Parts: sequence; C-alpha cells; structure tokens
Amino acid sequence: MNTPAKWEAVIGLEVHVQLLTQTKMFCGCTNHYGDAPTSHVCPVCLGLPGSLPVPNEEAIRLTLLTGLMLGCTLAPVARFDRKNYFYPDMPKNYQISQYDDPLCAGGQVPLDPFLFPKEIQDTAEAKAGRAIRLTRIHLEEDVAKSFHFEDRSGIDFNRAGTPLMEIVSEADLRTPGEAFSFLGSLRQVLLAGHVSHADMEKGQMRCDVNVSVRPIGQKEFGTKVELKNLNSTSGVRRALTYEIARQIAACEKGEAIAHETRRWDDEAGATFTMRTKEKAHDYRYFPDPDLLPVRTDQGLLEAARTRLPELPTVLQSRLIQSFGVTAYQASVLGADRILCAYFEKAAAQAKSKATVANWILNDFLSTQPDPTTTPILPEFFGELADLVADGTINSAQAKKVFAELMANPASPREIVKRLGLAQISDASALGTYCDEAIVANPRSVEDYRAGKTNAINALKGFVMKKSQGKANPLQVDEILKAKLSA
Amino acid sequence: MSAPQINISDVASLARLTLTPDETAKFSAQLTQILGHMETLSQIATGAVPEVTPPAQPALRQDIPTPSLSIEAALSNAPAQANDLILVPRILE
Repeated sequence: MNTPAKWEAVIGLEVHVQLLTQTKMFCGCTNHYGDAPTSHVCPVCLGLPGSLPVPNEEAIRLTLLTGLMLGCTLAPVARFDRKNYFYPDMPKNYQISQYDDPLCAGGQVPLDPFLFPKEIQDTAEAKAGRAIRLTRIHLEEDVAKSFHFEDRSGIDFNRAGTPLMEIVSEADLRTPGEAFSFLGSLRQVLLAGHVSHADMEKGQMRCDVNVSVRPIGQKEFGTKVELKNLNSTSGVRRALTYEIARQIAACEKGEAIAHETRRWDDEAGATFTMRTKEKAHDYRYFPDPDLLPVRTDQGLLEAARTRLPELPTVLQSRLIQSFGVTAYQASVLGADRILCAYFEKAAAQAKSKATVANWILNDFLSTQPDPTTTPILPEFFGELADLVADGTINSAQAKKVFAELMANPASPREIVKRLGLAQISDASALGTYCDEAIVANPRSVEDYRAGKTNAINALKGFVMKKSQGKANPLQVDEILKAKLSA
Repeated sequence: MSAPQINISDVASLARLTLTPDETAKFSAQLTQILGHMETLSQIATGAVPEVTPPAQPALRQDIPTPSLSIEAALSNAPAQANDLILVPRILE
C-alpha cells in the first residue's frame, strides 16, 4: 500500500465464528439458518423467567479443538460470565460470555504467504512468514437477527443463543494485506478441524477491526478506531487501506484521532463515524450464577485431542516433500481438502508426482470439476503423467488425451490406443524422418552449421509434421544434432 | 478503611432506572454500606488460600436437538408482531 514510510499501522482483530453444532449453546433448539423466523426458539433462548441454561458439550469441544489447532494454552477450568447491556436482539439483557477464565489463551495464526492478496504475494510482506499472536479464544452465545423497517425493527430469535466463538488477536498486524491473510489462514485451520464453514460473506465468520497509526519507531500506540460492517476479507482489506490513509492524513495535519467506532461503507469505499466512545462501555461482567465452572480436564479436552486434523502448515510441507509440488500448489491443494485427497490418490502410484499436480491444478481445475462426483478417476491423471514420463506420448499429445479424457472419460492408455497417438520413439523410423528433413531444408542446415542453432527448429517442425505430431521431440533433437554435426 | 463512593446516577442509567432524588439518596446510602462490607471482606488475606476447584463436571448437554416452541406459542406474549418477527421500536445504530 502507499503508506508513507514514516508511519505504521497497528491492527488487532476480533473474529466471531459460528460453530458447526446441531443445537444452540445453552438449549436444545436447532442451530440452523434460513428457516422460518421464530421457529427455533424455547424459553431458554427467549430468556423467559425460570428457564436455566445447560452448556452444549460439543460447542466446548470445538472451541478446545480450535485452541489445540492454534497452539493455545487450554484452561483446565473455564467459567461463563454475564455481559450486561440492553439491546432488543438479546432477550435476557445480558449475553452469556467468558471474561476472566476463557477456554483458551495465547496461541497464534501463521500467515500463509499464498493467502495474501494475489498481487502482493511476491512481496517481502507476504514472504516474511509472520505468525500473529492470539490473546484468547472464548465461547459465547450469538444474538438474534434484526430487520429494520420504516418505523419499527423486527427480531428473529432463531440465531439468539447459537454458539459463537470469539478469537481475539494481539495488535500484531501491521498491514491490510496481513489482516487479509490472517483471516484466510485462520479459516483454513477452522475448516481443517470442521469447526465452522467460516464464510465471511455468509456471516459464519464476522470480524471487528481495531486500528491505529503511529510514527515508525514509536513504542506507544496511537488512538485506536474500531471498524464495523466488514462482510468479506477483501472488505476488511479495503476498509483498512482507507482508514489507515485517513488516520495518517489527519496526523500529518496535526489533527487528533477521535476514539470512535466507524462504519465501513463498501459502496462509498469509506468509513463513517458511528458513535464516539466518550465513555467506555461498562458491561458489569460477573460470573453467571446459573452456570457452574466447566472442567475441561474431565474428558472434554481428550475428546478434542482425538479430533486434531492434519494442520494446513503440516499438510503443505508434506505435499512439498512427498509429492514435489511447489509451495504455491501446496497452498492451493491445502485449501481444498477434497481436491487434495483426489490429488493424493492420483499421484500415489505416479512416477512424476509434480506432473500430476500440474495436470490437476492447471488443466483439470479449470474445468471446475467436483472431485467427489467426477467420472474421471484420480488414477487417470497418474497414468497420463506416466505416459509422458516414459515417452509413450509427448506433451502436445498429452493435451489431446486430456481433452478426450474430459469428453469421454476412459483410461489414458486406452485413449492413446483409440486415437492412435502413441509417440514414435523408434530410432530408425525417426532417423528416416530426420534425413528427409535435412534434404528438404538445405538453407536451415546451412544456417545451423554456420552457428545459428535456432535453425534446427525448422527441421524439428518438419519431422513433427511428417510424423503427424507423434515423433518423440527429445529423440528427434538428439538425432538431428548428431546428423548435422557428422 | 473508608467505604468507596458509588456513583448512583451512573449505575441507575446503566440499569435503565429513573430514580427520584429521594430514591437516589436512599439507595446511595444502602449501596455504600454494601460496598463497605465488601471492602471489609477484601481485607482478609486470601493470597495463600488455593482456589476451590469445582469437584465434578456440571451437567452438560449432548448436542442433540429437542423440540422448540411452536411459532404461535413463541409469539403469544409479543406486544407486536409481523411476519413471525417480534416487533420492537426501531433500533437506531
């Protein structure tokens, strides 16, 4: 970005994640979106008098699993607290959350260089390989969804009381690109653990941003501004880019930054004051007397441990080491576990595993396949790569086999037979073609012998044409060079 | 040690309560007394006393859905409703 070198931004994120549970956090109502309004409610999640909350053990397990995946310290005993405030989307007038004793503390999110915005993946910023420290992860309940009409608001309590995990980062982020990668990298971890679908555009992952600027070299933080209404990772990046520039411009003019909450307007591409924080919120947190402390050390933690998946960073280094794929390919495969499983099957027996990766990621992926239902067996790609590797077909022929594979799925070996594509590697047959080429192109021969080595391409082209593209190009090259220097 | 002062009007506004001057004076005295008692308790040296760990796991719930209220029942106490939503005065951001 165009941040003048004199200033740096300091960014911290609070990420809310909807958990993949069947039921809500403290009652047995279904945790599902898009159903008829007010259809998943009961006395507990409506906050009716006399009802009592009972924690959902699966939500606790998923939070502990997230803590394990992100290297957090897990609390043996965790407590729930009440966060008191008044808002119509929260029926009890308090939200059950965690304050003093959250389930997880510390931990970090390693930034995947390939989850930075595309155009800056080659920069030092992306390649720095930073890990962003986390402050904590706690579990709370979500609020209801509000709809705003002309003179009233309508509330649908289906979402009220559904489990919500809050991941709070340290103010370690310095650029909009890092915030972008943080969200993408975090999402990959959450997907790996089947904790959440974590799609920001569907509200499954929501993000508040705190940002301030300070002169480079200064230890103290500047006045921070909170940004809201960020509905996509690219929105977070755009909002930060705008806000950082706004704050720097203000500071350079000698203006003070107001401690406030600003709303990002994606269409306008700007942030606007929502409310100033003259008085810090006083939520009057206190331990929820309806809920006893939870002992994570009595089975919950062990259960979470058994679900630890192969983490994105571990998976990526395994793909690089065992399959010879590039770091970029490893990141793409790691981001799609279904495609990755398909690739691993395809490459398992193949001689050139990196070639298999090229076929799948360049050619196959561009056909937008569904690896779970495609009639094209993963083994076909291994076979295709082997056919090229052992010289049965050349790469131009392989393209034809691939096209046929997509149109009429069958084993590449059969397709080669069906299309009569097998490469000619017979030295005497190729020798004949090469002799013909030399006779037919005296000028090229002369040029080549005079030192214009590129002239050999005309001869190769002649042989390829004569052989209808079946000649083994490497062998042709060798034979021609031998004959021309004779 | 003197009892801490409590800003009664601040607490009342957080709790959305409107107090008369008489009530403010009355509750101010009562709450100051309660806080004074807490102050007395906090003078006890507890640094060396280990925190009591809850002896057993409290009842947790398995992640299995149970029936919800019917939409009609859920809305039956709502002062205003439309399209199965509970209506409230317009929320201003």
